[in-house]
Amino acid sequence: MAFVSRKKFCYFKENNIKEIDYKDVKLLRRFVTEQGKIMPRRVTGTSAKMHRKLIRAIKRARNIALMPYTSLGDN
Amino acid sequence: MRYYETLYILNPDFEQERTDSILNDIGEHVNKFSEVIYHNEWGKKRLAYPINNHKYGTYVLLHFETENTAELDDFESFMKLNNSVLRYQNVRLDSKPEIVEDETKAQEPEEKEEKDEKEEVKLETVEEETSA
Repeated sequence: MAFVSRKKFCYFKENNIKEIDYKDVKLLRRFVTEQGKIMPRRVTGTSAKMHRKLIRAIKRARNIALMPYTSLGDN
Repeated sequence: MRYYETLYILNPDFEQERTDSILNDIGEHVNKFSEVIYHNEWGKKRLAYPINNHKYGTYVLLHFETENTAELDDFESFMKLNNSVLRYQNVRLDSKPEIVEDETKAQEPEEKEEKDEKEEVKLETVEEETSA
């Protein structure tokens, strides 16, 4: 198997997003796993600055039940 | 001036009249110490996880501006003690909030589509089970 490298980029820098709104669940969904865990920076390629803002937004969304803390045990 | 945003969830079982009167109560309480910029219902939404055994909740978004930060604690305890409020979250905004009406309207139909897809998937799985 050849080693395939993929160029990482920060989604927020690419799209010129400065602030992340916790109410924008559709956007936040891209940065959590199926279980609802926040994906690490090494996977998403998000810049450190935006990752901090992202984390805050996701945690706020979780608190107000817009996003799950975990999707395990949903059934 | 400081701008605040509160998103809170009301008991979904209430009739529209009762929901409106609670909205009025909260609006009046906030008006005492601040200026309400925006106060409107998002509508009934499915909660990501059950709160007090409720699967759904009526989301309400409230924007207000105030300098009287001491009153905020009072407002928070008022929300906490209000039994019709399942959950609330008060967030300070960096800048004056823009009018969000269009945004929420644009979001709602998309979410409905997602729900429909999920239901379809569920139906399919049910069919498979019955055929097997």
